[in-house]
Amino acid sequence: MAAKWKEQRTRELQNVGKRKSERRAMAFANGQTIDGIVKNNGPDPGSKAGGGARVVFNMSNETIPKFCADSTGPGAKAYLNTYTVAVRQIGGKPKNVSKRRQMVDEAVSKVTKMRKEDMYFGAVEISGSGVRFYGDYCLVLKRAREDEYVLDRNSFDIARPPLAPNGELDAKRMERAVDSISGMWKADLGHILVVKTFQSVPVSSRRLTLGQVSTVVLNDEDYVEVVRNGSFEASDVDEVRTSATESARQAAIGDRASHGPTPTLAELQWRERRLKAEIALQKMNLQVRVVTAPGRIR
Amino acid sequence: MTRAAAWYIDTIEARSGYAFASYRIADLSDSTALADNCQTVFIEAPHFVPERVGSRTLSLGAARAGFQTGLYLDDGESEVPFPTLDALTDFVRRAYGSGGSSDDGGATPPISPRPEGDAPSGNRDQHTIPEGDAWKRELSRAESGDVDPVDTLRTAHGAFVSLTRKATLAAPVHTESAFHALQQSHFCQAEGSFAAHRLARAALRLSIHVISFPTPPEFSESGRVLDGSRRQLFACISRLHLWGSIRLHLLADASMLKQVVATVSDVYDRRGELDWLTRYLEPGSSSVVTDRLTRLLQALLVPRAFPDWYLYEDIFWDLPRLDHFMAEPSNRFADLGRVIIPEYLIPQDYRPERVYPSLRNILSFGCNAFSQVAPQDQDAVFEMMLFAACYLNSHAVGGPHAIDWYGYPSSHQQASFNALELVKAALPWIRSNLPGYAFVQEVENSIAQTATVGR
Repeated sequence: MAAKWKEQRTRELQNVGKRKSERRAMAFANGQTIDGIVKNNGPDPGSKAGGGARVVFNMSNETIPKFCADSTGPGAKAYLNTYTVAVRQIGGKPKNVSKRRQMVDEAVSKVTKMRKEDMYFGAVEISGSGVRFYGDYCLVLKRAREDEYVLDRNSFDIARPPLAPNGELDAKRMERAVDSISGMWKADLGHILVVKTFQSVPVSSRRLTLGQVSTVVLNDEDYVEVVRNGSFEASDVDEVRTSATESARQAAIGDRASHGPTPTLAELQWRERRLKAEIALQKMNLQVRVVTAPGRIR
Repeated sequence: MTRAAAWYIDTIEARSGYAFASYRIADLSDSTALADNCQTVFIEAPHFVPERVGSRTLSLGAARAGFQTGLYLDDGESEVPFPTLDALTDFVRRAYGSGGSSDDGGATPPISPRPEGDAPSGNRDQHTIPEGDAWKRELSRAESGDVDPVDTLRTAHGAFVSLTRKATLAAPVHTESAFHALQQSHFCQAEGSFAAHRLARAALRLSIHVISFPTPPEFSESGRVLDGSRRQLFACISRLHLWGSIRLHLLADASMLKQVVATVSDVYDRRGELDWLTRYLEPGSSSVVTDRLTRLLQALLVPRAFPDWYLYEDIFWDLPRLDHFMAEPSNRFADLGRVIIPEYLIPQDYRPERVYPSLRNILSFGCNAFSQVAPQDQDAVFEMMLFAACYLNSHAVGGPHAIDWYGYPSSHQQASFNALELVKAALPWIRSNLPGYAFVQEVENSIAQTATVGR
């Protein structure tokens, strides 16, 4: 796969400008900056700079205490995927499974050679607070495995145009689509992020900064997906991040609860659960950091 | 068969308050490519304001992050349609709120199981306050212009239940018309006597419940929880300035008086001090008895705070200050999570497992699973909701009106005035947390069901 992504990177860089032009030189330098960010190279040889590309999973404040409670004991599988999550279903139990999800999972499973039950979908993050739609707390894992599979977008994109034509989904075509958007952490992530950055940021003769790259890697709904083979638990987590927006909401609700106007019941419940989540994380020796989303940690 | 377009839930994590919804046909079981022209929104706690998202792939991908796919009717075949995004958003908000009725809140640690026959069982038969309403008839005669806030809630409940019967799957009914009596203006001409009596009844129900537990072992977790609950209840009642209203209610309500005497007698019987209690409550006039019972309740809730002479003397100003109990609360909502309530007030499936339900739980249950409040428990549930809402909104009412925290108001009028101010702030707040739409019962059940999942 490395060859595929390396070729794409080369094409992107060549498209920037003529050989030996300042723009192309700057593009190459920016590419190296991104490589450095992915590898987390520090200013001195062999040093770490802080930050770097990380595997993250988002989780809501409501589920954090259970995750922490389930993180004890040998071989704990605290983070649950769709196949192992306890039934939290409201309404009637659907008679038919979601065929789209089944087909997407099967296509990813075929390409990654992982059992569907072992696939855990996370995201690549640099310095932000992850995919906030999936939870207000972002669990940053200590390390990514070198053979971790990475997709340059949400894998469900293979079930919609342009990767899938309108009409019935075709399993073979979906597998090819997964193959075209996937790579491996060690070999391909740098190339994937260079391609994504150059496709997203207007090419200029200025150096890219960590914040700019971080914004491209995970921006709003657009993220780079990680397919992790196997679950994880609290001891695999390096730190927990939450966005400044969520923290501001929490503080505002607390302030209004003390002095008025009285927050709604849902707001009070949400704030209380966040407090409870952070107490649970503290008991697991996990630090919660408030970060600006989606840019730098400030 | 043609499938009609409507708002449907793509994925939802009801307990966390997250949902994705799309305007589409019911297509979750299809195996066709996703259409690019579909409107999709994301709804999240705590504000529940829908925001547009660019792609449905984000919403379906959420199934990998623990969200359930779709919302189905009991038959498991049909997705639940919502005619408007507003109705769907209200569903998500209420499902989230309903989940709070089984939260343990982090503030109510488990009490170890009590020995059989040695403690209140939470059983309705043993614990129901007799609903003798002679006090109410008497009060209605004396205060013909007054408004009973619990009757107002009961009326709103009745109106809501009939709206759920009118609602159809495709057409839930907006509830605006059902709750107009909960507006502040409805209480402009009220006297406040009913408000004072209702809050006093809630305080008495809670006091009876927490003091009727047997004394747990010293330095045990159960002891810590129970002691915390009693002290917190004392603080709540005192911050709401309800001790005077409690005394007045005991004077007016013979059934409640009997229940309090029975509970206190049980406590002193267990201590082997029943004779002392009999002598203490012997002296003649009902005014003296109710005064002494009220003091006794205070002393039972916070045993070490009151000197023995306090039970007899008619003076309060020489008491040690109890400001450490009464300082401005830092988290009123967490306070409510410490005050335990009789279990039977929340149906078994909807209350917390392993811990006793609290005032916080009953507020979540009553506001969001409104139609599930059992007819026989309405008085108790609504009185406690009112008490809890008054406590949350007490900052809006301002400081005490010449009453010490633990003292009595100088007059019946003053007690009523204080209570009315509280209720005038609390009822509109309750209204704002009640359902915005009445759905068919099957969908209403799904809302309440959130309390049962993931406990």
